[in-house]
Amino acid sequence: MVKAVKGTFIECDSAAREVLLKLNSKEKFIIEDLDSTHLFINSTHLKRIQVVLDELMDANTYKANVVK
Amino acid sequence: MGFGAADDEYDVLGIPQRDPSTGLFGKGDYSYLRLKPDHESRPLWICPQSGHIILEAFSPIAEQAIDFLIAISEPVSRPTYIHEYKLTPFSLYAAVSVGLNTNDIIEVLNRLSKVPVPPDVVSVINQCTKSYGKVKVVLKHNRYYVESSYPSILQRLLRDPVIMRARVFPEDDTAGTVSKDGIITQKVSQMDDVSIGGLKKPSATNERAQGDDDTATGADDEMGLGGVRLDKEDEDEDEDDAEGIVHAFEIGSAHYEEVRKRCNEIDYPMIEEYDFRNDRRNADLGIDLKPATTIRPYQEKSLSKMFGNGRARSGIIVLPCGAGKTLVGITAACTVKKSILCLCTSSVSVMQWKQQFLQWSTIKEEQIALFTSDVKMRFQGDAGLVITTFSMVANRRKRSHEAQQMLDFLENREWGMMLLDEVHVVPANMFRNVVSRIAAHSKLGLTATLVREDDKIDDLNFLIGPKLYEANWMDLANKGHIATVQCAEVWCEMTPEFYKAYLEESTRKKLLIYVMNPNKFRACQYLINFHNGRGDKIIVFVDNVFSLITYAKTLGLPYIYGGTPQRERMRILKNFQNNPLLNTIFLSKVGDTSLDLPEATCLIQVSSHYGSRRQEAQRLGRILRAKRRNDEGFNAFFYSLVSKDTQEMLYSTKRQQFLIDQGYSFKVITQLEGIEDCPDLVYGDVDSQKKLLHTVKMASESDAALEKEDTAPGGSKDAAGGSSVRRTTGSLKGLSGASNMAYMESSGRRGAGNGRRATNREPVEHHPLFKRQYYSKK
Repeated sequence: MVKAVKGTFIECDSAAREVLLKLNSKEKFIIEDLDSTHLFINSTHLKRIQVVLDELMDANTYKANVVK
Repeated sequence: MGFGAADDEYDVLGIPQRDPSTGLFGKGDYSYLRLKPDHESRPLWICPQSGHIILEAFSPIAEQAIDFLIAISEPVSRPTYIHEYKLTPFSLYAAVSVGLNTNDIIEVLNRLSKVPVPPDVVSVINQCTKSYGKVKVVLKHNRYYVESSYPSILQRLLRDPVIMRARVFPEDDTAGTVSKDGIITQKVSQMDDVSIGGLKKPSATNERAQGDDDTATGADDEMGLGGVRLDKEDEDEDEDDAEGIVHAFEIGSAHYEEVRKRCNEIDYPMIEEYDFRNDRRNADLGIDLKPATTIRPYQEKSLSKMFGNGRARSGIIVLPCGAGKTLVGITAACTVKKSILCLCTSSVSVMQWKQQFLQWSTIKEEQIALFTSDVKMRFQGDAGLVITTFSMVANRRKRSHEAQQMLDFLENREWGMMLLDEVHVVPANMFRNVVSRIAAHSKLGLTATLVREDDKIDDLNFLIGPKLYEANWMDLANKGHIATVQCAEVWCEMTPEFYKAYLEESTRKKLLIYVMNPNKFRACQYLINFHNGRGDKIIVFVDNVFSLITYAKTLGLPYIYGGTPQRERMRILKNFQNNPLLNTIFLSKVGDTSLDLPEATCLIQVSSHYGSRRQEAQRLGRILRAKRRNDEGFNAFFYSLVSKDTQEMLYSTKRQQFLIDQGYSFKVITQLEGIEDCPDLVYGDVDSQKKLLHTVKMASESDAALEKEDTAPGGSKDAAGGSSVRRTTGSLKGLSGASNMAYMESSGRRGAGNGRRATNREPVEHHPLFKRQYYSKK
């Protein structure tokens, strides 16, 4: 029987790709690892990995103290 | 709503009352303040509540406005076009003491401001300027006295539990010698009997407090609130005490800092001024500036803040590295002309200070005494200059007989002035007791970087005094006193292999991985080649010793770190200065401060101490005194190499904040132009990159730690032996999770407390299980 999965084609830099590969090792969502800047992933996970990536990038960004 | 009426006016001025962004301002929305009709010609905005003042530095009258603002407030941030200042109690007091009065301040502010001065700011100015100067702390015979001409104020202070505890009750004989009046001695002894009872009825004092000086003093004594009358020594006292009497009580020197802090909290800040010209008890020191010595305008300005009313005020002067802090200190010493105690951070700077004193002033060599671990000298005569290090006087462990004698000598006399070089190190607990144990009439702190990553910088207000003057870096650079610097942050992409390793490794190892990033390596080599071609002398800073050695060896260039023997250091530095063939050296943290290399014109920072703003500023200071700074169109360069998508990005931005506040701007370079066309750069192919990654992975945890700051260069440290021992202990500690050396602010001298504090601030790595919860809570 044919099983269909909805996928999303992702273009990213190599750093983001490494993050995604690491996430994938815990919970599989990558359907096809195309090349160093392209991945094809399961669409149901899209939202979640976007959040994770945002958090990671935020953690590396300095926020100045805003005067209240 | 009151806004309705103002609607028309806002329309006239072209300011919408609300727009989609209004909500973003939150409490900072000051649009309700009415603009004056001619606001365009006025350069200031004044924020209610916080006392912040925003200045349009492009305004034609900005220069005058800056002069005024410097006098009454503290600079917070000074980029090119918009400056930010803040009114603080200390800055307002400084304003009062240079002769500005309350009405002048408010009037001028009003004239410069686009909006009417908010009423709460007016009341702060009123309150600060009026209560200041009422209470003084005076040092007499090595004891601290709180003095005031208003006995009611003293009574108020003594009702405060903190000050009450610090209070020292005069002994009979002391009281007799202090006051020259027989009756008062009697009263004093009487006071001792009733002291405890007196403190129990503060309500009674309230009624009496309004009385004139004489009756009020009587009331004090009856109730044991302890007004000891002293004959006044200052002629130019406040006009209020026409009768020429001041009242005082003694406080224990151990509580000195506490009391000052408390007094600030209850709005009776104590001022500490030293009337050195009328001090007859302490011997004069024959010291003057040499006739050939000239002081630059900003140095004079900073000193005029200190000696504004003919007396020495304690405080801190902030000047950029290379702007002649030493000369300011020496000039201050020449003004006070009493015994001077000069404290610096290392034995190298002790020698530098001595040499500078001899160079700029007329002090004779035998009047200077040094006190370091190698040299212990005394000066001749009654007054002199002692130069020593913070650690020599702070160390409380068992000391050699000689050192102990020297310490006793230091503690048993009164010093006209205490000079504290690099004063930002003082808040460390070990050093702060130096300030309280040694009796100095006035204290002058000097620093380039009045920032710390902990909250202790405010303590300096009570330990030393307020910030007296802070130079504008940009201004000095424009006038050619320091070099103009182009700052750039170079983003280096992590290679996929390194980024993978970065994601997998422990927090501590991560540092090593982003520092050793092959792209960073290549960027560094490219920049070295590029600036070599321009004839620049380059210093490369690498904090981490493992990477320092790898970088330097790979590129075949000399390096200096804490373990480099003194002779080797001298040889490398001499070569760097004089040999046209050697244009690049690698330095670890040891190069941050004490090295003076005016030849250097380009800095490349490969790795650094996390988010330390101070280190960034101090490193920049290495090129500010560049010899060639006055050449036409000369620019020094400061590059900071950062690995993209790593923690380093965060640290790097944080580090830059101080310099940005001083008006520097960092250009971000995402791609070095022409780096692809340089085939001879190292680690060009994936194989060699993998090999590099392998060495990095093999490196032990302790290699990832940053080098401990080394204060005594050329100590007996055996490079090879030392490091192997350190490695073993390091990894053991690492295994047990006890090793947090890497997060310490600067060095082991500061004790475990600081280390722990620093660790807590480090971003916590959460277990994935908790991660989502943690983040969702935020």
